[in-house]
Amino acid sequence: MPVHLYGVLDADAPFAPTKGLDGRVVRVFALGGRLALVSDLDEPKLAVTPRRLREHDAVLRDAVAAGRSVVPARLGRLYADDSALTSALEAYDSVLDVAMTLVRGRVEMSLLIAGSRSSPSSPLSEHASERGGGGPGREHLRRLRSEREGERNMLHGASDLAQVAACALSGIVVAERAVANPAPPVLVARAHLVARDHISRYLVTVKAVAAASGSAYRVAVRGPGAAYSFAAVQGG
Amino acid sequence: MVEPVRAGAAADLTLESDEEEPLVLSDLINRVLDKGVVIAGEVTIAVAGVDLIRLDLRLLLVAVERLTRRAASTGE
Repeated sequence: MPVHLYGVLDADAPFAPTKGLDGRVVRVFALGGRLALVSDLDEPKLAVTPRRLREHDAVLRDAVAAGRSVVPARLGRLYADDSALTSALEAYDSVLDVAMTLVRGRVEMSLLIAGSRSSPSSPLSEHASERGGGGPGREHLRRLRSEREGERNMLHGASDLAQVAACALSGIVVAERAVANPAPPVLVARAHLVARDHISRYLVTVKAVAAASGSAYRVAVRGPGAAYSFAAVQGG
Repeated sequence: MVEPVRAGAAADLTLESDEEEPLVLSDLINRVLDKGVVIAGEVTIAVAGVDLIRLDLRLLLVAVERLTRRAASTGE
């Protein structure tokens, strides 16, 4: 039976997860000194939907909230059965050791920067057509150029803001990873590995950076969560 | 133990409400999704407010990149 892996925990204490993908039971099985969180699936393929992304993530966020150190798996790969999963994890035993050391006592925080709902992404002059004349084709090109310029300016500003945040957080985050081409509407995303003891300091610092950035951007934080950006299992 | 995140000073930064669905979904796609799955064409992301065309193109690029690497490593 196909198996979906949520993540791997230290086996230092029992953990009873709630429901997983599509309300399925989350099984916990011991593997050496670790616990693997899995669900059995009926089919060999798994369609990825926003709901399933949430459900997968929720299982691991519950583990993180319970104080557990988690090496997460990403959603989208399945194992043929328990035996295939066991073989895969045993083959990467030493890598999992390193990953577990990295995440122990730490969580991932996502810093997300998007344009604010009120910010103009395309500062088009109402009188653009009066500047150079020309027909509707030229006007259309002007509009496109203006929109592109506005988007570039927003992106540059968001990158600068992320840099300011990185400097302010330098004494708080253990590691930072820039997310390449984040999915819209996010302009710039940074993943931060943070010690559990520093979560409150992290939030207060980001809040201060956001307050100083003005109203053009929406700065948000998601977390604490599992450290996908730093120690995820790439399985299947 | 997890240090509790206190309400107040910084609580309005955190994303949990449905109102922020696009940002939450973006974060989930960026971090949780194993983008290799698009090689088999299994990804379907459809939520209002998300730029589907741009998203699909980006994921497609990832898929092509991986396929290219795989072909190179197997000598195909």
